[in-house]
Amino acid sequence: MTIKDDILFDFAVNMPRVLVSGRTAVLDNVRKLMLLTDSEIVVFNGQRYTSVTGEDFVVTELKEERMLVSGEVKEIRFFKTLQKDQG
Amino acid sequence: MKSKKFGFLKHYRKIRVEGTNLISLINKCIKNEIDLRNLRWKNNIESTVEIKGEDFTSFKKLAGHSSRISVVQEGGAVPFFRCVRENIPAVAGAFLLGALIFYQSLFVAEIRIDGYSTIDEESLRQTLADAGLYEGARKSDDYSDVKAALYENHRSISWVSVYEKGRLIDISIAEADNDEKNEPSDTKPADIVASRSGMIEKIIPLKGNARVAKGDYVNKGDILITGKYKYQSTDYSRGDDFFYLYSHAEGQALAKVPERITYYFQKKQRVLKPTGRFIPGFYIRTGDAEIDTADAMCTYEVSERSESILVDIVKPLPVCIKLVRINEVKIEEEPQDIGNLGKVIDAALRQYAKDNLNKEERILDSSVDYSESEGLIKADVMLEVLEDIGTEKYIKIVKKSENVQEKPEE
Repeated sequence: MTIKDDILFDFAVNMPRVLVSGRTAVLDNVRKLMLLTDSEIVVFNGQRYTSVTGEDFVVTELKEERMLVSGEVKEIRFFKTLQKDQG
Repeated sequence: MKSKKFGFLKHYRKIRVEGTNLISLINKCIKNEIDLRNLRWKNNIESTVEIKGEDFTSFKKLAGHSSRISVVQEGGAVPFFRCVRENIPAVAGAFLLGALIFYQSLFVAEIRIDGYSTIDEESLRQTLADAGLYEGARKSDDYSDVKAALYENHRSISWVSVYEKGRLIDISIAEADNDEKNEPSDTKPADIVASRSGMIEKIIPLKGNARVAKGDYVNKGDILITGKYKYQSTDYSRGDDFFYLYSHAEGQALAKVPERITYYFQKKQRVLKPTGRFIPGFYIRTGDAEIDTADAMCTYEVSERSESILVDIVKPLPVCIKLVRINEVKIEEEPQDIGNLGKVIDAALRQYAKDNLNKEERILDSSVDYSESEGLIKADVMLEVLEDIGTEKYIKIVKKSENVQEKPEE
């Protein structure tokens, strides 16, 4: 990773950023919570959405736009709204 | 501004949120920087979450009337100390219990002794108690005094180990083999002679020939069992002359011997007469601390103390409680009762027999003759004692003539 990429990664404040390790997932830049169940969490990051699906989800911490999720993570998806849907 | 460093550690509330707009509420929390912890989704209308105590009011305001908020649990340092403050007697009780458990660990609960064979346990325990080690005594860092006392009082002990296992004191002892048994028996030629005059009652020669029989009167120095034998040679080279063979005589010679013992008594004896006044009280000892209420209040010049034990335990804590009564007495002099003197003399004779006579020996008869002098009563006790009067005396061997050879037995 070049310095440019590194800076862009650090300052991508409206983009999804997810770190998954074992049974823990860290979701950064959480602007808004869209969906919360024990098997799926969807958050809005400013420009994109992040969807995490799995089992036994517990939000162990939610502060300073960072969400710590523990549970069995099975799938992570990133998506954005269509242009026509954006009002 | 409030410090957020110890937010949850200081105080947190676990709350149940019931309502359909949980996500909206969480988004409001994100916007208002209310930290959330352990957010659990249970179903579409119920969730639980932990928030800091200081955020509770704001959270409730954000929830408004659309969600039902109920506190399930509180935690952190603030509720803990509040709980402590509200339960001071329970906390004090727990503290006292802890202190009691700690305090009782400072005392000896049990002493176990092993390894002894010839010494009886009672005398070992007495020695330990005299050295300050007994059930209920304070534990010590150094038991060298105890070891020294054991070595001093029991010569047969060759090694002692004192080991602490919690409140148990484990004492291991090793005794040396009896030196007398290991010593080679004396083989020097010897006779058994009378150590004093007396009438022979029983003679048991184990080695050697008896020179006296039952009923014989012997004087001091008379040979009772001889170790010298005369025999006629059957060896052709030596001829048929008489020779002497010597051995170390052994045996027992019990004889009736007279014994005289004199006891003196004061004509007037001192007796303690109670005046009728007394001080009742309690004696309480816990570990090293002791209180004696009666002793503290006693002002009597002469007094007698009587105690009855109510509680005397070592476990879990060495506690001794006694009921004490201090009676005031005055000392008076009364003439000595002759009948009572007889009992005193009997007791003294029993003690004499215990101290001076062995298993076979005993007092056969006794008579007491009282005589009075100024201020004193003299009791002359004449005893007839069955006593072993035999004592060893080495035989001096001298060559008398050429044809009579004398040599000691190997």
